Amino acid sequence: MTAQRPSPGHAPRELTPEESPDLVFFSSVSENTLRFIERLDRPAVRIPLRPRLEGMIRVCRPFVLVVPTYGGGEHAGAVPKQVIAFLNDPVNRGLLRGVITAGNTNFGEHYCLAGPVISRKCAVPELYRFELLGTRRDVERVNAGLDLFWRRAAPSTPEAPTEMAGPTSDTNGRNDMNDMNDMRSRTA
Amino acid sequence: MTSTIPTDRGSITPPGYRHQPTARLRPINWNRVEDEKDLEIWNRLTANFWLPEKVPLSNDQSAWQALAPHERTLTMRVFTGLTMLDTVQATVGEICQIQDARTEHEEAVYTNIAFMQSVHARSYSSVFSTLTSTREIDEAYRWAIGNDLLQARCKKVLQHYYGPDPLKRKVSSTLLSSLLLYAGFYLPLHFSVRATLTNTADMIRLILRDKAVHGYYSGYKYQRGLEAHPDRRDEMEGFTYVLLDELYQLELEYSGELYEPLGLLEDVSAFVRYNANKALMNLGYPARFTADETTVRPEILAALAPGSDENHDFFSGSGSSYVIGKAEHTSDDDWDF
Repeated sequence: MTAQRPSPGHAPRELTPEESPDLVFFSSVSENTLRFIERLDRPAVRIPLRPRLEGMIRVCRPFVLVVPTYGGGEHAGAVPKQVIAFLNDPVNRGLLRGVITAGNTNFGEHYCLAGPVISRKCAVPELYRFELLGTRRDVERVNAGLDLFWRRAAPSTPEAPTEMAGPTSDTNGRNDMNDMNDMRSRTA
Repeated sequence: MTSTIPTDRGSITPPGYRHQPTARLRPINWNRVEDEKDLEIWNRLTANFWLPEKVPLSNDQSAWQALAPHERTLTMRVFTGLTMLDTVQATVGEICQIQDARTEHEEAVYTNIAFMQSVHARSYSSVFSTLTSTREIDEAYRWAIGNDLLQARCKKVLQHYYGPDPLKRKVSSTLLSSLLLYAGFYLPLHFSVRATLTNTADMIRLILRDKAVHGYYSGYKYQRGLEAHPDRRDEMEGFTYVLLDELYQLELEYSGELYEPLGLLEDVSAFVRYNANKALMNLGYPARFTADETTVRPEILAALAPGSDENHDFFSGSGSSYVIGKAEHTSDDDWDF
């Protein structure tokens, strides 16, 4: 069984600049997050579901990550393993600029827990939270928000804004950083 | 005949006996998992396991006494209504899906969910026995049996549970777990916003967490089932939206009867619509109601997720951070930067 697996040090597939969009996502076999991405209708690359078989990917351009939250209470399982494997590559981690998370408010305080976990670990802003497949409003707000985010990031490439307030604050600050809070909402 | 070496080829799991009594039976093998979701959900369910006995409901006694009589009656009716739905789901809704399972592990997951639904049904009885009298409890049960709307809501899904169509069973089950219960859940969340019955609200939050997994799983399996019948796509989508509308109308009538006197109907309705959208999403369908139609009072949403704002006071016995069997928070390859 283990003989079929590539060794842990197996080199990831390096995406060319053409193949490496500014949106990277993970979606489990339920494909809920995939459906949200499809409705955004912008180029995105999927983190492999079975990295050991399919091989991991290595991106080459700054990107925003969209991930579902796993579990319901346990920090250990909140971030999907595949996303952890992807971010364990320093190249990928270094290009991460922000995180958007799918979840379900039924999980209470652990709603979209993967967002703050990744945000804290990688020191990038948590940009938005949505539930399940996302509503039409979520799609509109994320699309508008990503446009704004990358426009702001453009002049000072390769660095995008990396500092942001707490994940659930809804302050309507005047400066550029705080304006990004508008992208964020607890629910649809 | 007896010399053949039994293999798993052509063998069936026990529910298959009904249609193939002569076939070889196969024990469940958790070391050969076909659908990784089955194991993932099983693990999530067992990690989330809880019992009402561990929630300090008795701390709500003084809050209960402080409620107005009509609020107490409303609470008892709402909880008896929830008990009714969980009873349906525990004894029929989950069990009836075993026969349609696509994998042997899916069969096991429904037995797990069914048990948890029985725990939910029992948890309301724990609230009653802690806070009220036998006379009041009996009265609430008489009300439940005599209430036509409550009966209609249950029978609307039961007809499909006992019907011939596996996909309709899945849709009905997902709508029950993700839509029907929420008019009831609203009341304890409403109370917890006013800092009353907070331990009961903690228990409700544990139930909400479970329901999210139950609805997700039935919805996921529905979508796998539908993939096998692409010819039924349009028909099933139509069926789902019609059933959703029928159940939604019943919810409004039922909620009107209960909540109108408190002037809460508008907000309860928004909460039901908000959850109706989530039920549809669990089934893989787009939301039915607009953002404006699903705007729930922010404090209710905050009550869903007390999180960091909550004062976790270990000694008060309150706080939703209740966990049992909490193990390691990290694993070997977790964030090995």
